[in-house]
Amino acid sequence: MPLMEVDTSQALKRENATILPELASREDESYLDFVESLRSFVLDGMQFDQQLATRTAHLEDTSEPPAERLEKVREIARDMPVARVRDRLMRSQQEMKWRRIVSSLDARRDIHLDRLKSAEGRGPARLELDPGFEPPEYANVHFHLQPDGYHKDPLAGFRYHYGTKVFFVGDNDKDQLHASLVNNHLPSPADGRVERILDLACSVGQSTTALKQRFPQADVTGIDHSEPMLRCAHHRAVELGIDVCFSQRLVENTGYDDNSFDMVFSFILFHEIPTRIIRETLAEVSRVLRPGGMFAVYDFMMASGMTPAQLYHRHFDSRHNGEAYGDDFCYTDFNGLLEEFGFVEAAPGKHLGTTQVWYATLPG
Amino acid sequence: MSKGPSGQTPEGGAPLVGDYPVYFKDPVQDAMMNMILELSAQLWMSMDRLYALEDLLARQGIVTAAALDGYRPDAERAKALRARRERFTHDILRDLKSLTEGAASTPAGSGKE
Repeated sequence: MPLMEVDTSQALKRENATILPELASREDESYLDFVESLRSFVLDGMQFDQQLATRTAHLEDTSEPPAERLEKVREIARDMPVARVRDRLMRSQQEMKWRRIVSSLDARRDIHLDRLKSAEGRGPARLELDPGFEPPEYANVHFHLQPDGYHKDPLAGFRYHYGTKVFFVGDNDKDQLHASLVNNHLPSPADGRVERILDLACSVGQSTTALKQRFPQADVTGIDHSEPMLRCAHHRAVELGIDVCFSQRLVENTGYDDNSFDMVFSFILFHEIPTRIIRETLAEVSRVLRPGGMFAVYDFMMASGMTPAQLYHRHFDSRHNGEAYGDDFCYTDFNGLLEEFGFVEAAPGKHLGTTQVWYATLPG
Repeated sequence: MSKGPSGQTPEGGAPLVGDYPVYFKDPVQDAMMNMILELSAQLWMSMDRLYALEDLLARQGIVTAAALDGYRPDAERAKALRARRERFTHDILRDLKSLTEGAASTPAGSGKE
């Protein structure tokens, strides 16, 4: 059950590369390779979804409210020993992953910090940090159980990057997933004008650089609240020789001028922020995106369209995998919110694996 | 490494489980499962090291620790190694696949074959 089922063949032809953080030893790589296989087994090889689907076939009807369907699914799963094993394994593989990544990066901490430091001031990528910036309180979460969360450890970006390598079970080792989303699943604005692009909550900048490669003439900026993420993103872009800008800003208060972007890109952001910030971010995007511009959102699918197994997994993720605000997003009406903030559909949305895609614009 | 997330999230959101959630009726079972997983990971590390050693022996005839740490499989071998790793993982964990109600409710020594 991959997060996204996308055709990466075209993306791979572009030879996109990543700069994965270097672990301390081959033994650490081996350990994490095992965790990757364990994750793959839990997701697919164990066939839990098929067993649960057999028991919950009568709950496939999506006309019933998802919260009520979830409770019935959980009640059924409580009687399935395999569900307890699946939950244990899912939690354990996350804990094993983070333990090893953190200890391996910490074993060469000074080298990694020097690496980030040496990238400062080097181009072609630019880095804008705000010395007076205070991370928002709502971001004090250990998302996906990542120790210290996204902004409290200077190596948080490296931790996150290697963590996502395991999360995507090898399917994104060369950023092919990000490249595919940008190259194969992102429409341009109707008038074709793409001069400035904003990448919301860019983390280590994989989508930011992919956007620059797709639109080389455009000025592409990735923003994030986390200094460690931005430093990692900048270091990575410098190593790749890609001219993008990374700036420390809040997605709900970017500080950019009205109508100043032709495209705003959001990759798995909205399920990581509380309802209040979802609304504020949509208001902000409606302010900085020009009329006719493209707002592309890739995120978790709405609970209303989930299968019983997907409802079960989403619930587990929210409670046991640090997806603290996942339910805020999945159990809302995102289409209704887009409409409320003035957006209209720019292109038909779609489902990619367990994620959903929205393409919106602002009327001229 | 700091502790994991505990308690409520800063702004509403979902109530998170604590640092050491228990999934089985007896927490010993959780510990046993984690031990098995850790053993499996450690075993894989050894096997992986051995495969690397074998490859280097075949290629060079001399093995040093530095050579082992510097080992990187070529694309073809990486593919084969991954396939062996998937098989290894599946072999260790395959019984979990058949952990159904029927299997779990038939205690060992019940006389049923």
